[in-house]
Amino acid sequence: MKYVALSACVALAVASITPAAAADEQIKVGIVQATSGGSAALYGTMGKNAALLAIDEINGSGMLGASKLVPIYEDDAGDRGQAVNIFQRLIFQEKVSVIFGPTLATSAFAADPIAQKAQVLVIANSNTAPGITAMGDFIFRTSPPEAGVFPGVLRYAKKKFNLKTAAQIYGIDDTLMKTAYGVHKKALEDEGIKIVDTETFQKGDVDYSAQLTKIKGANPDAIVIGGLAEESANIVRQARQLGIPQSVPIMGAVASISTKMAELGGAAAEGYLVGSTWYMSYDAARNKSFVEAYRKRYNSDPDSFAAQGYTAVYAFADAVKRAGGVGDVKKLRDAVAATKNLDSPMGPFSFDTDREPVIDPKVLAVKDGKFTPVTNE
Amino acid sequence: MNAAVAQFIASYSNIIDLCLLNSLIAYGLFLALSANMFSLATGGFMALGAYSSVYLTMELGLPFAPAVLAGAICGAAAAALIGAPVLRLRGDYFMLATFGFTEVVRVIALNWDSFTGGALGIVSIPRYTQTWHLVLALIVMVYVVHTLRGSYFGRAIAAIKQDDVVAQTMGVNVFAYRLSLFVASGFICGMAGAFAAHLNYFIGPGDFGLVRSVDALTYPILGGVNALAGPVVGAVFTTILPEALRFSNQLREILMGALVVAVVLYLPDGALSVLKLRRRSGKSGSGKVATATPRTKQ
Repeated sequence: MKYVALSACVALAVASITPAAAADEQIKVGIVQATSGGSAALYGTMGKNAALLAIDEINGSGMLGASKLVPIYEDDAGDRGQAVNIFQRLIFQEKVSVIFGPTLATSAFAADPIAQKAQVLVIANSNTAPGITAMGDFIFRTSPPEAGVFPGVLRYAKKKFNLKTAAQIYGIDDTLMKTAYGVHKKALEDEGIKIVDTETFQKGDVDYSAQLTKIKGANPDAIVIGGLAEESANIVRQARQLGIPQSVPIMGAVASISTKMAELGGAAAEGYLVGSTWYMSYDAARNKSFVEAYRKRYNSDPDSFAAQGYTAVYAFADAVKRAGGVGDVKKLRDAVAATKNLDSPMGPFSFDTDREPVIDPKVLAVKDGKFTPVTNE
Repeated sequence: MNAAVAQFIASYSNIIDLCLLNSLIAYGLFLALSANMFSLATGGFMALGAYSSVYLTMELGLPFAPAVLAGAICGAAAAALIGAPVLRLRGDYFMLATFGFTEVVRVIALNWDSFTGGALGIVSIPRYTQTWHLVLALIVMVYVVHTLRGSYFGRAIAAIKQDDVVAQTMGVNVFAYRLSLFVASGFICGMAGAFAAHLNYFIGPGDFGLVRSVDALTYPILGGVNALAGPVVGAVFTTILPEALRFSNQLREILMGALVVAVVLYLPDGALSVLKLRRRSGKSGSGKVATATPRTKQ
C-alpha cells in the first residue's frame, strides 16, 4: 500500500510538470532492454550500451540544437509482464517520445501494441521474428528479419558450390531458431534446391550425432542450421567429426553470429557461412568511429545488435531534426518512416514501406576463427 | 485530480492486473497446499486453460465468458485425470509427478504447431480480460475459500494437513478430499490461464513452464499458508517487488532474493504471521487447531 501511495505522489508530481518550450526541449526517450535474466541479457546489454553511447554523442554534438535527448533506461529482465509494466509507465507517466527495444520479440508482441495505441514510436534493434512491424505504423526495427539476409547467403553459396540439394537442421523450441528454419526452407525452395532431409533438436542439446548421421546418409550438397551460437558451433564440429567433408558448406542463421560460435567451433567452423548487416571490420568511416567510440567507453567490442541499436537512436534523432521537434507526433512518425540512406555503421540505412530496415546484406564466412566478409577473399 | 488518477491507472494498470491474476493463482495453490500437496502442475493447468480458451475465442469466435469457463474446465479435467493415480503418491513423488505433467504439456505445446503455434506462440490475441473480471473472480474465490474453511470440509482438510494417517482412522476419506481440492486447484489455474492469455496479446510455451509453477508455489508460502489473506499478500509482494526495486537495476535481483530469504527465515509461517503473533499475544484465541501447532515437514 505504501508503494501505491508513493507512486501516486510520483504520478502527481510528474503530471504537474508542464512540457518545456520547444527551443530547449528535453526529449525523453525510453530504453527497454533485458540486462539481467538469462541469455537475453547478452543482446540487451549491447543494445543498451550502444543506445546510451549514441544519445551522449548526439547531445554532445549539438545535432539537435538546444534540444537534448534524455534517456530513461529500464531493465525488463526478458520478462513479458515487466516489459508491459515498463511500457505503460514510460508512455503514460514519463511521456517518452520513443522507446528503443524491447530486447525479445516475445516481449515486443505484448508491449508494442500499447505504444501503438498511444501513438508512441518504438524502434527495436534485436527483434527478428516476423510480424513485429505489422503490429502498427509506429513500430519500426533496425534489425533485419532472417529473410532480409539469408537469401543473399544462399545465392552466394549456390553459385560458388553449385548446390543441388541441402539438408536442414533446426531447434524447435526457440522463436529465433524456428523462424530461421522457415526462412531457410523458403529460400531453398525459391532457389530450386531440393531439401533431402530435415532434422530437429532442442535448445541446450549437446549431442547431435543421431541427426547428423541421418543427414550424412542423405548426402546433401550443403547443410543449413537454424540455431543459436552454441548449438550451431556444436553441430558444425560434430558434422566434421562424423566425416561430412569440408566441401559440403554449412550455412547458419543471423542469431548464430557471435565470437563464441567461431571459438567453440574451432577449426571445423572454417568456412561457416552467415548473412549479416554488420561486421567489425566493415570498411566505412562511420563504422570506424562507432567501433572506436564503443571500445573506448565500454572496454569491449560491439556486435551487430549494438550497431543496430546505435543506428536506431541516430535514425530517431535524424527524424526529430527533419520534423523540427517531437511536438507533432504524426509528423515525427512520418519523418522516421522517411529515413533514407542514413549514414550508419552498417552502411546506408533506410526504412521500407513496412518499417523494416533496408541495409546491404553482407555474406560472412569464418576465416582463421573470425567472421570475415567473403568479398574480401 | 481526476486526470492524475486516470494517468496513474494508465501507468500501472498492468501491474494491478498482474497482482490480481497472481493472487488468483495463489489461491489455486493455497487450496492444494492446505492438504500438503506441493503441486508443480500450475504451469500445465494454466497452459491448458490459455491455449483452449484462445482456440475458442480466436478460431471458433466464441464469447470470452464461455471460453474462460472452458479453460477452467480443461484445467479441472486434467487435474482429475492426473490426480486420480498420482494422489496416491506422497510428498516428493507427488511433486515429481506434477512437475512431469507441466513438462509434458510444455513439450506438446512446443510441437503441436497447428494448435499452439509451436515455439513462435500465438500473437495478436484480442485483449478481453478486464480488471473487473479479475476482481470479481478474486472476490468469489476468497468468499468460497473462507466458507470452506469454516465447514466440515475445511476441518477435514485441516486434519489431513496435520496427519493424514490419523485423519484416515478418524473416518476422513483422505483420497477423495485431496482429489477434490486438486481438481479445484486445476479449475482455478485453468481459469487464470485463460485470463492471462487474453491480457497481453501473446502466449508462448515458455510462459507456462517450471518457472511459472515455482513462482505460483512461492506466493502462498511467502504470504502464509494458514491465513486467508496469505496468498494475496504473497502474490502482491512478489509481483510488485521487481517494480519497487527498479531504482537499482544492478542490485534488483540480489535484493529480491535477499528479501525472500529473509521472509522465509524470520517468518516461517509467511509474512502474515507477524499479525498473528501480535493478535495471539493480545488474547489467547480459539484459533483453528491447524494453525496453532508448529508443523514439521510431511
